[in-house]
Parts: sequence; C-alpha cells; structure tokens
Amino acid sequence: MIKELRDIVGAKNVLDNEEALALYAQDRSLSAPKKPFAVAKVNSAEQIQELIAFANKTFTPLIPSSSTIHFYGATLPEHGGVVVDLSGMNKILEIDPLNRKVKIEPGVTWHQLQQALKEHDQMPLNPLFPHPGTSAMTSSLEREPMLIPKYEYGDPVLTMQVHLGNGQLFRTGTASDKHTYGAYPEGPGIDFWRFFLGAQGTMGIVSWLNIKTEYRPKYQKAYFVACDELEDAADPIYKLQRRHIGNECFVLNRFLLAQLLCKEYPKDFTKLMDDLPPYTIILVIAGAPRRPLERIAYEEEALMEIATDMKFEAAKTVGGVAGLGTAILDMLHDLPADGPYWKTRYKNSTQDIFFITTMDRAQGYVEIAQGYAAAYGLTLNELGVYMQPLERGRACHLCFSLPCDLDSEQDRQRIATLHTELSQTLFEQGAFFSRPYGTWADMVYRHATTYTATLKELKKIFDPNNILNPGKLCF
Amino acid sequence: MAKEMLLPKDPRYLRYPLETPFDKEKARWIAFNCSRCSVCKWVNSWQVKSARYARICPQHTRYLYDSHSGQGKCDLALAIIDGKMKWDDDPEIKDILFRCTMCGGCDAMDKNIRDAELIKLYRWMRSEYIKALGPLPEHKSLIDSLKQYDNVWLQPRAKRNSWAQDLKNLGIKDLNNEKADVLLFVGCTYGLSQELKPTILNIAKILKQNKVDFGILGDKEICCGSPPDKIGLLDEFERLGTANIKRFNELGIKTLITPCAGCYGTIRVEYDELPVKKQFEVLHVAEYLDRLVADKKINYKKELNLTVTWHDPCHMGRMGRPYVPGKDLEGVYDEPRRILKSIPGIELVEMERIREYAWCCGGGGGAFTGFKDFAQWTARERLTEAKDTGADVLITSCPWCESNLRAGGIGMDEKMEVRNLFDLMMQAL
Amino acid sequence: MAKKDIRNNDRHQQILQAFQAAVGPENVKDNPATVNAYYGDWLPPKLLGMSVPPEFVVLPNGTLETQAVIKICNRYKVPFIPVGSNQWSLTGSPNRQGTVIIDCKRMGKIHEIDEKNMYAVIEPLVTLAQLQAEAYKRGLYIGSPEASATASAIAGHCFQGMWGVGYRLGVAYRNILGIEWVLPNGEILRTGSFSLDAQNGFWGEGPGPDLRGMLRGYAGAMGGFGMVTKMAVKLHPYPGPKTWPVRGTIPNQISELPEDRFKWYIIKYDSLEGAINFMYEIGKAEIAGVVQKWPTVYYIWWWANSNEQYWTEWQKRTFQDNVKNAVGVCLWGFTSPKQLEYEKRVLEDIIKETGGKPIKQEVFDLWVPRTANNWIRDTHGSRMMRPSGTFLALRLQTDTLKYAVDHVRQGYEWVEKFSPPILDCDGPDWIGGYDFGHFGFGETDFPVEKRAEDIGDLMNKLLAMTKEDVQNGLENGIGPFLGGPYHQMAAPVFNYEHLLKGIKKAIDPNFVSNPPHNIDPNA
Repeated sequence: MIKELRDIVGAKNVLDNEEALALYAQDRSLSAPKKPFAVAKVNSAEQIQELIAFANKTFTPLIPSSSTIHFYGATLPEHGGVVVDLSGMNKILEIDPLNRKVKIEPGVTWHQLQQALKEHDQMPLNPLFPHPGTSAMTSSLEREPMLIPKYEYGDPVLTMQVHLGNGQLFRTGTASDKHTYGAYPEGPGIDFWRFFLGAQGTMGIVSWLNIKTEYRPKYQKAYFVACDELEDAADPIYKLQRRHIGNECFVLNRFLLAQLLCKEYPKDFTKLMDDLPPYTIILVIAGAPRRPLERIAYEEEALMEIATDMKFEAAKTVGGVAGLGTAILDMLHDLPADGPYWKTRYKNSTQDIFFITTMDRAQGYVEIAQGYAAAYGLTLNELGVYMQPLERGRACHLCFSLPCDLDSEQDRQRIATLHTELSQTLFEQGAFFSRPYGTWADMVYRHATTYTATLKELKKIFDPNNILNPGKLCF
Repeated sequence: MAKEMLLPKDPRYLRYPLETPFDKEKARWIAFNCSRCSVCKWVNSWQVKSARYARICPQHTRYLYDSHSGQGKCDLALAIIDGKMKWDDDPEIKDILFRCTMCGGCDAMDKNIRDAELIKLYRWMRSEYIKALGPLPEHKSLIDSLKQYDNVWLQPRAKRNSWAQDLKNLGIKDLNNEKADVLLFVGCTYGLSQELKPTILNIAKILKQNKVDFGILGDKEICCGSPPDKIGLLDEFERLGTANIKRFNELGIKTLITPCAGCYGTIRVEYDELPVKKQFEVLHVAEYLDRLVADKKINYKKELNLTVTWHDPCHMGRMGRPYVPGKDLEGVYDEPRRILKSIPGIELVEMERIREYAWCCGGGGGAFTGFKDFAQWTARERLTEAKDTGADVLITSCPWCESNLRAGGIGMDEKMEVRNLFDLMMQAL
Repeated sequence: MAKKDIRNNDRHQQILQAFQAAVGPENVKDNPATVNAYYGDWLPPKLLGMSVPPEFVVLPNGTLETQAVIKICNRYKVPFIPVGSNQWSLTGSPNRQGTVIIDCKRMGKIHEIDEKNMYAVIEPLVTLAQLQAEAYKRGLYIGSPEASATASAIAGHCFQGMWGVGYRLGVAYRNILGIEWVLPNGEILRTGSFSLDAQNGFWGEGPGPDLRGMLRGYAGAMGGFGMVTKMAVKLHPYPGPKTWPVRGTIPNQISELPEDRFKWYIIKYDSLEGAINFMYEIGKAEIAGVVQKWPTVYYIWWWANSNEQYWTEWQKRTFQDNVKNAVGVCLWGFTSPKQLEYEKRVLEDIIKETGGKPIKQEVFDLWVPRTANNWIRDTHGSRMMRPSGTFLALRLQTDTLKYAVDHVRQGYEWVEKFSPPILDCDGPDWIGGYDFGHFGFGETDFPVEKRAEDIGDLMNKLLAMTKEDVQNGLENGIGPFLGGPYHQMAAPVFNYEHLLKGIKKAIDPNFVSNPPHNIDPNA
C-alpha cells in the first residue's frame, strides 16, 4: 500500500513513521487521537485523482487536510486511512481584480492571501483573526463567519474544482463551462457547490476554489462601544447594520479582547482584564476607492446620530486602552504570518462552541454558558464570548471559547465534559449548529432525520465507498 | 437605407380591434393572448398594501381553482371556441361562468398589462352558454320579471307609482307630460324597494332645494337592461336599452342622472353598443351633485361627526367609462369622495382596495339573485375590510351594493353600518 | 364521451378517493372544466400542442396534506407537478396524461415576519407583492422580481430570480433561508435552522453540507424535486416609504420615491463595452442599489400602455435612438440622505471619467416616473407579451460582466439569423450587475408573434442552437429553463449526469415529480 502511495505522490511525500503519524493523529481539540495509516502530501490535482482511485480500489479512507492547524477534530482519521495533506498545494492561481475574485489552492493561508491581494488593492473576506496557519480555502468552504456583515450577498465561495469520492473530477458553477470566468456558483444543473460547504471533506476534495475579494480600504476608522452585557450590544448593531454603517463589525468579551490585544502575557493581559469593559463592539468604518473620506464622514455622522438616539457611546477606545484603534486596524490589515495564536494566550488551547442564532437570543445563551462554566470552575473572566453579526445582523455566529490546558489531563476532562454538556443544552435551547464537528454531529443529525437520510443518499452518489473522511458528520 | 422593421403580421397586435363587434373571433383573440400571468387574480401589485387585502377576484378567492378566474375563463373560452369542449361537457361550467359578479376587477387589472376586455368576453360566453343550454334556473325569476314587468323585482309596473307619488307630492315634474333639462332615472331597485326608497326622496329634495329643473318617468320607467346584459341575455338587453334610448331622446332632456351604479354604467357605457345613439349626457347623481358642491351651492346645516369609508361600486368606477386602450380607467371615484369631504364633521378613511382596484360588494352579475351564498361571502370580505379602516359607516351609492352588503353583514360579529351617500348628505342639510 | 372519459376508470376512482381522503372532497377535482385551466402557459407548450390537461387538480393545505398527496402519487406512480402561481414557466404544464397538479391555493399564509432579524416565513401562494407590502410596512424590502409580483414568492426564489436590487442585496439564491419541503418520495425535509426547530427558519445553511443545493440551480429544479411548502426568506433594509408611493389610474400609474433617498440616472455610452466599463466602476466604488443595462425593448415593454402606443413609439424610434447602450443606475440612500449625496458625487465622477452622457431629458422624464420607479416594486413582466402575444429568450448566462458582453454579442448574431420570426428588437442585450459587480448577467430577449407556425419554427431553431452550443461545451443559459430534456443533453457535457441522475433517483424513486424534469434518471 505504501508503495502504491509512493508511486502516486513520490516517496518523500509519503509519511508513515510513528512520529509523523502522531502529528496527524491529533489536533487542538479534545478529540481522542486517531492515527492514520499514512500521510500523503499531494502536489497536484492529478495526484488527488490517483489517490482517490487507489482508495476506491483498496477501500482506504482519505482524510483531506489543507493545513496543520485544526481545532475541531475534522481531520482526525476516525477509521484510519491516509491523510491527504494538501498544504503543499499553496499557490494563488489567479488574481482577478476586475471581477474581484481570486483562485486559490488548498494550502494558501489567510496571511499569504492577504499579502498577495494587497498590491491589487484587494482583500479577502476573512474570519476573526485566524490562526496564521489556517487554510483560506478550508475557512471558506467550512463557512467560517466573515468579519464584515455588510456584504449582504453573503458567502465568498464562487466556483471550485472538486475531486469526488466516486472518482469524478467536477467543477461547480460556471467553472463547468470552460468559456466562462468561473465567477458564478450556480449550476451546472443544480447548486452542487452547496454540497461541498460545511462538508469537512466528506463529499469531495477541492483542489482549487474561486472566492470573492473586496476592495481593501486605504482609510479606516475604528470605533468601540463598551457594553455591560451582550444584550446591550445587540440593539446598536441591529440599528447600525440596518443603516449600512461600517465594514468589520463584531463583539468580543473582555477575555477574548484582552488576549487579542496583549503583547506580553501575563502583564498586558492582567491589565487589560482590569481595564476593558465586559463586552466591546468593534466597528470599523472604511472608505471606498472613491472619495473615501466622504464615505467615512457620512457613515460616522450616522453612527453618532444613532449613538445619541440610543444613548450609547461610540468612542475611539474603551477602558482607556491607548492605541486601541490602531492596534485593531493594524491587525486587520496584516494578519499574522506566524507566532502564537491569540486565542491561546491564556491557556494552550481553546475549545470553542459556536453556532448560529439571532442577536436578540444571544444573551440567553450567554447566561446558559456562564452557568455551566461556573459549575465547572471557570470564572466569568475565563469564558470567551464572540458574537459575529451576519448578513446585516439578520443572524449571528455566537462562539464561546473555553480555555483548556492540553497538557493537563484534569483540565482536558473537565473542559471536555463542560463542552459536551453545554453544547447539548445550547442545542436543546435552539442553538443551530450549522457546522456539526465532532460529537455535535450525532446531536444534530439524530434530530434532523430526513436531512440526515437525504445527505446519506447524496453521499452514496458522491462517494459510494465512503472513502472520504468516513466517520464525520452522519457518514 | 434603414432596414425595414419586422412588425407583427397580425394587425391586432399593432392596434387592439376596439371597434370591431364582440364576436367569436374577438373572444378567441382575448382568450388566446392570455399569458397566465395571474394579474387577473390579484390587485395590481403597485397598489397592494397588505397581504390580507391583495386579492381582486371574489370568485377566485372563494373557489380557489384557477378555472374560477379570468385566466381560467380564457382557457374555457379557448377550449369552447376551438371545439375542445362543449358547454354541456361539465356542469361546473355554469358555476365558472355565473358565480362571477362581473365586477370587472380582473378586467381592470388585465388592462394594466395588455389590451383586452375580459368582462365583454364573459358576457359573450354567458350569452353563448344561454344560447346553447338556455337561461339559468337561478335567474328564472329575474328573467320572468323583466319579461312581464320590465323590472327585475317581480313587481307590477304600477308599484313604481308608490314612490312616484311621493315625488309628485314634492312637486317633481312627470316627464311623461312635462319637459325638463334633467331626467332622474331612478332604476328598478331604488324604485321598488321599500328599504331604499328614502334615498330617492332625499335626492329629489336635494335637487329641488338647489332648483334643478328635473323630472321622473314614474311608472313608465323601465329597467335599464343591466341585469340581462350581465347575465348574458343580450336580446333582452337590446330590447330594453333601445326602448330606453329612444324614449330618452324623445324627452329632449340634456342630462340623465341616476343614483344607481348599475344603471349608470349600463346607460353611459353599454348603450354605446346599441344601434340607436344617445342624445343626452349621462351622469351619476354623485357627479351631478359634486358640481353643486364645487359651486358651493349646497348649504349644510348640521355636523355629523362620523368616520366613514367609501365603497366604489364597480359600475360607477372602473366600469363607468368606455374602454380606450392605454387610457386611464376613469370612473366616478373622486366625486363621491369630494361630496363626503364637503359634509361637516365627516372624516373619510380609505379601504385598501379602492377606485379601479376596489373589491366588489358581491351583488353584481346575477350573483345577488342567483348565488346568494357567494354574493354574501363577497360582501363580508368587503365589510371586514371596511371595519379594518376604523370607520363607523360604509358609504356607497348603488342599490345592489347597499342591499348585498347589508345582507352579507347579517350575522357578522362586528357590525358595519351601510348607508347611502345621499342619505348622509341629506342628514347634514 | 362517457366511454372515453378517464374518470370512469377504476384506477382513477381509486386515486380520487385517496386524494379526497387526504385533502377533503372539495379540494380535489378531476372534471374537464377544472383541469382545462391547468395546462396553458405563456410559452409554447399549449400553443404547439405539447401539453395536455392534468387528470387531477389537488389543493392540499400545509405540509402534511402535501405529503399525503405526494405519497399517493408515489403509491399509484402518477406524476405530479407542484405549482405556485404557475406563470412564466416552460415546465409547469403537464406533458403527459395522468398528471396531478398540486396547486397551492390553500397555502397562502405568512407564518411570521421577524422584523428585527429581517426574514419572513411564507407559504407558496404568498405572492411577491403581498410579501413586499408587508415588508414595506416594516421598513424592509424583498427585491423586485424580474417576472411579476403576482408570482409566488417561494417559486420566485426557487426559480432564476435575477432581480435588479440583487446588485446590492444578493441574487435570489442567497435569499432563501430555512425550507420545509416535501421530497418527491413523500418525506418531509427541513433545511437550515428548520431542521432543528420547524418553527424557526432564520438560517438557511446546513447542518453540514447544504441541501438547499438541490432546490435551485440556474433555473430551479422545475418541480422535479418535490414541493416546498414553507420557506423562510430574507428581507432587506429599505429606506423608502411604508406604502408604495403610486398615484394615477391603471394603466397610467406613476410612482414617486423620496428624492433624498433614491435617484435614477440613465447614462448612455457609445458602445456596449463603454457601458460595461461604467458598470464595473460602479461596482468597484461600492455604490448604487440597481445597475442595469436594459435592452431597448425593455424600455418600451415596460413603458407602453397599449399596443398602439408600443408600435407607434417603436416606429418613431423614440427609445432606439436614445437608450441604446444606456445603463440605468438607481442610487439608494440606505444610511441617510447624505449617503445618497455621496453616491451622486461618486457616480458623477465615474460618468465624467468614462465619457457617459445622460439620455435626453425628455426621454428620461417620459420613462423614469412611469416605469423605472415602478420597476423597483414590480417589473410587470407580463407586459412583455403585449406587442406580439409573447416573447422568447435566446441566451442568458451569469458569470462576469465581461462574459455577459461576449455572451449577448453572440446573441445578437443569432437574433439576426432568426429574424423573422423574431420581430424588430434593436439588438436585445440585457446585462445586469449583481453582488456589487462580482457577477454579470446577460440575456437576449425579443418579441415574437404568438402564432403556432412562427413559434414552432423558432423553437426548433432555438433547440438546434442550444444543441450546437452544448456540443461546443457552451452552456448558453437558456437550456436550464427547458428542464429535463436540456439536462439530458447537457449533463454529460458539463459532467453532472451521474450526480443529477443519482440524486433524482434517490429522492424520486418512482419518477413522479414532474417528469422528465429536472432529469430522467433512466434515459
């Protein structure tokens, strides 16, 4: 088997030694380690095709992985098999500033993408300060929320080339027609592209993806609103979003914002925890390519008008933190290329629970989370809360971060139990886990019976031998 | 040299054949060009103000199936004309054709997007149906009444004298013997209904107070021909209409005024189809009195303190003018509203469906006589809409609307009073 | 007659009784007068004798009754077609004997409008106009469908939906949230957040891979994937009045939008390329609510109030000489009047730089109040039938704006080639900008006389052209509107045959959901 793998990807690109396999056997989640049989580092679409043929012949599971950074157990081989490491396929294949799109391979990171787009005055639509090693493609395919809710037209995914488990090489949207620019996601036939989103690589391995880019503003101003409770943040955001004010807009609680801002741990962190308000709305007002300052001016004026009406203060900082605006804008403009992940300043991992809800229901979930956290010995200052308004505030991504010391078995167990129980309760209370990783899958799919049955029918068509990442979702 | 334009070969696409008689060919043209766009089922979308009151067609709203809509009737006409169906193939054809109030809602909405005359199509279909299968049993009493008494209410002609006498007592001219500029054409329903009679007296009093030179025909007045016209008895319509035009022309009147919307639409618009031409102006009493209001000739003495809403009768509104493709579907919309606003203490609040996109009272097209359940269901819809405005009273000026709305209101939890415009006016004088 | 009447057949009676038990006797009909109203359409099928009346029309109320009806169809293996308002589709008319029409006339409820979170949960009969009216009351907006607002809002979202305000607010496929959906096999599928809570449809995706993908595609699933009985759809912020500001009497109605929030420009260019460059610049500048390069015929289709007016103005060349290569831009002040002022300044900069010229003021005045503003509420697409009884389209495709230009250019050639029977239309080239100019949409529409011989001739030509395109690996976009027969032809070329047939087979094992749409798995 190893020989066949070597024949496909080259001897140096097959890893089967214990040390290497151990690396792929676990991630930053609390999932139990699951060792692959081998790792195949691929460099081309052809190699992926060959691997799939091999896997179908031998019924070997293939677990696609675009980077070495994973937080939710999605790349752990539940049934053994071969990890298909796509991180070497990291080219930006085409930047199309006219049509504001970019074609990327799986291994392209957010930092890499941001830097490449910079010279074209473009930027990607990235999630909240991702880990430097995170794959831009994976984030996009996995529907990680974007920081900018103003693009009502939603997700950035356009078209893709995908290698199906059944051995078929398929292109979605207009990419199926070689005459086009591959810019439109619908078709051919039906909206196949949607089946590959949130799929954790179970429906196909994507070898390139076209995503939207947007104008990278040259002028920006950051505003901050201090809130005592998350519910205090909801109404201002509803109003701001309804009036089309601002680009990036999100809420972090003190614990997360302190980690984000701190340069020296624990010194800065402790001070920030003292200074910062419980919750902060971060709103970036940005100029457009033309008359940028004029756009900032009218949006700013509307912001102030709303602030006066609703009696909140939109300020240049919160908690007296010096240079807050500049710090945030700098980070937005230059996502880190390396270094420690900000969310793991406090402890060496973060176990996140995230789901979709509406902003008016967010406070209720926070209270549930706080109750559970307290019961498991986490103080209010150790529970991260991030609320990302989506689509002009129509809904929000709500994320609770549970810090966990991966090196402490006791902490692992404690947080694992908290994670499971809190997730279950949130789910029962209507939290919509649209990306059901790990143990959430069972919780979600057990409930959505026809959805699950239909997904399984689709899976049989796309991947009849269930070679792609088996054991994930409902497969 | 510019290339020659490629225009449609069929000249009817270049210009709607308005002047040609409404025959099978024309019926087919209209039916054939139905594009199933469904505008005949809904209020023109630019005017939809809520989900609740978005429908225009009582029949389709009540009976749901598309066969009971303008589109369905076009499909039926096409099937019949093209020989795919016969009138007696299906007993439901009767319901499709006659459980329709001929309100013209679909017709008006359709005219927003194409040149067509749906109501004329239905009338043609009804007439063909009757030719094939005979008149409807449900309309028997109406037809018998017309034939025997020249009115629709099975009342002897002499019965009209009961009100005529009241008018004579007021010193109103009898135009059978005297001359006047204005004929007050009362109509069968106002003329023969005890309940509605006071309206005529009130109108007469208002006219008299304003020194209008007018008179009546008393028991010599015959039906305008509207009911037979609407139920497809076109010969009967022609008989009555022709007789009326001749008689009115002989009277030498300048103006015919009527308080009945049905009579109004028929005399003003439908008579144009008859071979004899009118030599007088036709006005609804509301139009006539509106002129007096504008001239500040009406002196109100009382303040009424009422919130009212106005129900546009179909034949006074969207069907109150001859059709000219591309031109506004004018009608008597503003006049009654101006009159209402002129009455001290009256606040006018509007329903959502008004003017050319008004919801029908349910009483037209033979439904009042033949299909009471449907007529009254339609009325209840209107009364509910009126109630939603917050008005105390629904005002209208059509005896069919008044009667049907009152009948529909019986048994409704929330009552809505229905009154005539001229009665209200008189109350303030 | 009686001998031929299918209604005397035992099987028919058995099915009838089953439907009656499921939905109540009054909600199923099989009589000639009823079924006769369910097989016509604006498009050729009936005219060309390609459609037949259905055997039954059934009116279920709600998801469970719909499920029962569909299960009966499966039991007896009878084809069904779910219909909304049943206009504007090539595929809503029965193409075979024994078809059941599932008419949604008893499903007209708006279950919920969540004003704060900007979505509505609706049933299939609810029209775009009804939903729009309720949205306006709440300061919200659903977008202007390119068909007519009398269309079912659910069907409008499932179908193409390249609505003009999609430029800023997203193409229709992005406006679908949770769905409650009876699959062809009779199972009830709930997607998005409905999968968790049938009362809560605020979110569309997932869980996990997104099954909404089955519902749409470029022209929808054509009823080939069951019937949606409930859908949550997005609503959008709207800076206009609470009721549509229309005045006048049919057919001369004029709308006046508040000048501090809305402003139309119609800017003319020397070439199509010039016009597209302008559209790109607007998108890049992130301004405007609508950016459309309408073809000349659209101006007059939507404007003319009678056939005589249409053809008289056409022969006077009022529009041909003024709006060729013009782009209609409507600026919306979402944030404030100052946003509108800002966008005006930006737009005027762009006009200057790109060498655009406003169209003649008198043509602008003739057109904008009567047509452009009303277009925001309803395009009244059925007016497109006016000049000749019907219209057809020859090409349409969404990709980039640049691709749209290439696409309509090819369309010009075909139009030239097929005229007559295509009537005078001045090079029909609709190009719409969407998602702030990320997408461009090109469509080639034209009037054609509604005569069986003309339409038949043209249909054959269009099919031959589509075939030729497909053989050249070109998806000309009109194809998906033909449903099954097209997918049969195109699926092997664009590599989705196995997938689409597999899905169809999996969820429609008895091949009863509007066969042969959206593909015949056994062909």
